[in-house]
Amino acid sequence: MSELFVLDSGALGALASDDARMRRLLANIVRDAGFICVPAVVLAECYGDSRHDARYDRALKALGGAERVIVDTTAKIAKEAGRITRAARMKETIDAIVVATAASSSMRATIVTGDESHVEDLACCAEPDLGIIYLNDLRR
Amino acid sequence: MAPKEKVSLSLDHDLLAEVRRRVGKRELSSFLNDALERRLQAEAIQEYLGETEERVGPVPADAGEAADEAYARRFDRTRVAKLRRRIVDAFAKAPAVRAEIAAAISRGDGVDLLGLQRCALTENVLLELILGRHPRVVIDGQTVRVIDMDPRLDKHAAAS
Repeated sequence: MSELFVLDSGALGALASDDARMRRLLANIVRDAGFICVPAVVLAECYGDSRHDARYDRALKALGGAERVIVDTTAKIAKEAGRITRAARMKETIDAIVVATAASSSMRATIVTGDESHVEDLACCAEPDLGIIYLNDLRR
Repeated sequence: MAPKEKVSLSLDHDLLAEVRRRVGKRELSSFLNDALERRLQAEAIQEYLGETEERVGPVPADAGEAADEAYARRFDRTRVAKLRRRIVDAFAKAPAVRAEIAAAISRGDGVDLLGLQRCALTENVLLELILGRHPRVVIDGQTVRVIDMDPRLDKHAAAS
């Protein structure tokens, strides 16, 4: 079974900047027949500054286009995000939706993120073992 | 949901039979839809990688190695985080120290969390078996360093 990779705003930003490590990750994901998605709520963190919007458009196009890669927040995902947030005693709703999107997948799932502490704390409250790739780690 | 369109396809008989065997007749459209989505995304990414390499150059070796390692170890961190959380919960409950220590656990100054997991520790094997009552520990990455081991555990270790 293939694997789902869920990108948060840091990961999408890295792709928008043609980050070398992100490019290698993409090559690995394609090699292993993984599939990449971006929760719709992540766009709220990325878009709004007209100087950068075109870069994000280009990043989404690199993943096959917004219509292919954007995942809506369903009631199931939102409820799971609420459960995870409370279990972790945190308030980061957008990060929780990213984690819940991965946790709700029928596939094995990994989160690609730039936000180390929040995602890790939230992910360990999800039922399945989720993979995490920290872009900040890769830049050290 | 995207609008659907009926199409007529010619597929290899054996291939189709295998897919139907795996997913059933009703799920065939969904299976093919997913496969096409993946193929289109893979091709888009390949195009992006090729175009970017021409524009900004290849991925430097050190960046590639760092990304490869993070990719290979992507499931380690969550497993460690879950174990760390379990340890913190165990400390919060301050449970009684048990008489036995799992034989597979190393008795060094540090405990390798991934090693513990490989030893097939489950929720039912209490972490206080390893760490004792009110231990002072420092959690450092994948290692829990035990500063004061419970003396009864030390005695047990000496006896064994």
